[in-house]
Amino acid sequence: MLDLVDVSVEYGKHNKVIPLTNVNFHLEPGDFVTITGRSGSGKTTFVQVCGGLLTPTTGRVMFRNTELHKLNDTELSRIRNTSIGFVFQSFNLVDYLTAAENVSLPLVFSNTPPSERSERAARMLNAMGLSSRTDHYPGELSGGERQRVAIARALVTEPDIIIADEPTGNLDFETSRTVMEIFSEIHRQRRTAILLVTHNPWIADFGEQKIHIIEGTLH
Amino acid sequence: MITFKDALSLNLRRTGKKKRSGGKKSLAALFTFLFFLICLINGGYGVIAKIVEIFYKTDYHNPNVIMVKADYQNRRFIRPEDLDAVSKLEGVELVQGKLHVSKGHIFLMDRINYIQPETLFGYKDELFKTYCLLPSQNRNPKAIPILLSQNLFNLSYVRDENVFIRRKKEETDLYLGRTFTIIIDPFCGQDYFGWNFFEPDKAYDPVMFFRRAASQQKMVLEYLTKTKPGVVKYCDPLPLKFQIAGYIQDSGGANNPLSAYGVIPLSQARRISQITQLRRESVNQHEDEFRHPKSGKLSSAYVLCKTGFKDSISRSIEKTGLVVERQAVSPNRMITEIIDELKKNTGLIYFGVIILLPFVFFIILSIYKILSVNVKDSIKEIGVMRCIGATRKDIRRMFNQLCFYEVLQVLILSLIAANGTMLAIGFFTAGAFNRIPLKMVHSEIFILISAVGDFSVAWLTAPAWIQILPLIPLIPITFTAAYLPVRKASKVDPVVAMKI
Repeated sequence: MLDLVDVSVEYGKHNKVIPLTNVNFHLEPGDFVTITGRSGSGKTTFVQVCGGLLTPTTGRVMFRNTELHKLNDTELSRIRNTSIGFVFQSFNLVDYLTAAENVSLPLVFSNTPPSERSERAARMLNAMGLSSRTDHYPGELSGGERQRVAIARALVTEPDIIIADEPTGNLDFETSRTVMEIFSEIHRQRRTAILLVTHNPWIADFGEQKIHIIEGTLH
Repeated sequence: MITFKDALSLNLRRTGKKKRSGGKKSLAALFTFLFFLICLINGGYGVIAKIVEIFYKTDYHNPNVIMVKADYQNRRFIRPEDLDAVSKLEGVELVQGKLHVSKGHIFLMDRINYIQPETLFGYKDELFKTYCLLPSQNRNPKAIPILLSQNLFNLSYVRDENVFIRRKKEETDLYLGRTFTIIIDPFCGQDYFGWNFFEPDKAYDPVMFFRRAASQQKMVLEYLTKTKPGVVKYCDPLPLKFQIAGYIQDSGGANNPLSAYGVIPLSQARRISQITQLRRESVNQHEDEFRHPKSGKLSSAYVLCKTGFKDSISRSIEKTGLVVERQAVSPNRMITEIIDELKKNTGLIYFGVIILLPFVFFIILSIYKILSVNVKDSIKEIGVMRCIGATRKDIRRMFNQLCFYEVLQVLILSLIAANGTMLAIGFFTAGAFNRIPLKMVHSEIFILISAVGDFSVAWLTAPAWIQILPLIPLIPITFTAAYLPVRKASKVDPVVAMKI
């Protein structure tokens, strides 16, 4: 489904930084891959490339046999909207929207009718155990609740891949475990491919496949 | 692509104008919307006039009254037989007019706490030819000389037995079409309550009243005698007498001089008449000297028609060679005159453009700066949206709409502010007009104040589309100013944005 072929990423002109070097990676539907590595090892760059947010300097990123960096902005946005769900460490919810509105935000960009949007958002929040929090703003939610809202937002479009960049980075142990159980549940029930970045070994154990990044190369 | 409605919803949420879904919109926004709607329907001044009408329970606009005017070019004046003929037409309820009416009339504006700007300026052309509104002598004893020196009216002398003055619309209606003489003491003293405030069955010493007034009255009349020898040769320092030719249609509430007065009982009026009878006789000897050269012929008359007969009556009167105005005072006239004036003086337009140019730059810079800050503040949010599927076009659309939305708010607020400012200017200039020293009557500052006052009234009485017209260029200006910040927003790199 997702293939990275000889992908390298370079930043800067004078002081070159090479966070990824000749990376080859293959992700199948239903895979649960955890990526670990030290800070600055290139984990986030790797998932950004996988999610089509970052264009590699060399190499190819193929999603369902389509080369992502050859797509125009609208086509790429469409893939991000419908096939890839992002979950971030700092939740990245929109402050002025309620939990339900945050969850339904991706559907706004896919022109889903409002009634269907509300219905799907409510269903997704219900699945996350947040049915009583639909009208709350992010500021009124706890860290764990916010992350669950973010997961609901990533899932609402029923994507093929969920890319989670340190989703438990800002959470305590108990909440982290709850969140990871949710990921496992999603993986088990929906067979959604999950690409999860963490620097925490016990979280990495949730994955079926573990990858370690050292200085831009996968191990 | 994001729909217009969704983008609007997001923008409203972003700017805090809309609470969570299904929540109530702010009351202020609702009022703003209603005000704008009413403005569109009634025109700016209509709203104010309507409020005045509601509060004062008066009808500022009687659509069933037409004004008949003499055709001066063809020397076709209104003769008594014309009025007789008009009064016999089907559908005519009342015809106002009497031979003694001539070019000028004086309405006393005493005891009014405020004077609406149009009272002095707005109907100048229409009003001052036929009437002259005199602001309170308490406030400005020089008003008559000023107005006379402007050749805005001539004095006329009329005699009649009855004295009426009225306040309420229903009472005014009762008397419309009948001829009354108001005995005016326009030169009343500060602590003199005026004849129109006589209370029934209470003892007054009119001599005392008139004595107090007499010194001021005499002073003014002496001035008139000097400056207008052809018009005023002699006048006994008595309360002057003038005739109401009808109440002014289209002037509302307190702005209608007649509606601002109380009605005094006929008995009181007669009492005043009796008291002044002896001295009046002496004045009567000079009657001819006070008459306007065209006295004996009406310059205008009012006809109150029954509903549905206005057009047929107007046509019938027009056939006799008289001029008919279907509305006594047209609110659009002032603005038309200004536009005509602008057409004649293109220099004014250039001057206006030069004055406006710095403002245009100011607006562009302001919008640019505001939007840039907005985009900067929203970078992370843009990044999130880009991650979850927003295209660059979606972002552009949202920010363009945000810009449009902000400008729309500015437009509405500008409209409200412009009306408020114009009203304030109108009041200020009306006040200035009252208080300007006599020696400055011919000065440029006086003309300037008049012009500003005229413009304020023109603005207030202008239809909604004219009020909106100057704001329309703001739209292209806004989008020009917004181009760069919106472009910047659409180019936000989600990877960079997420790092913030």
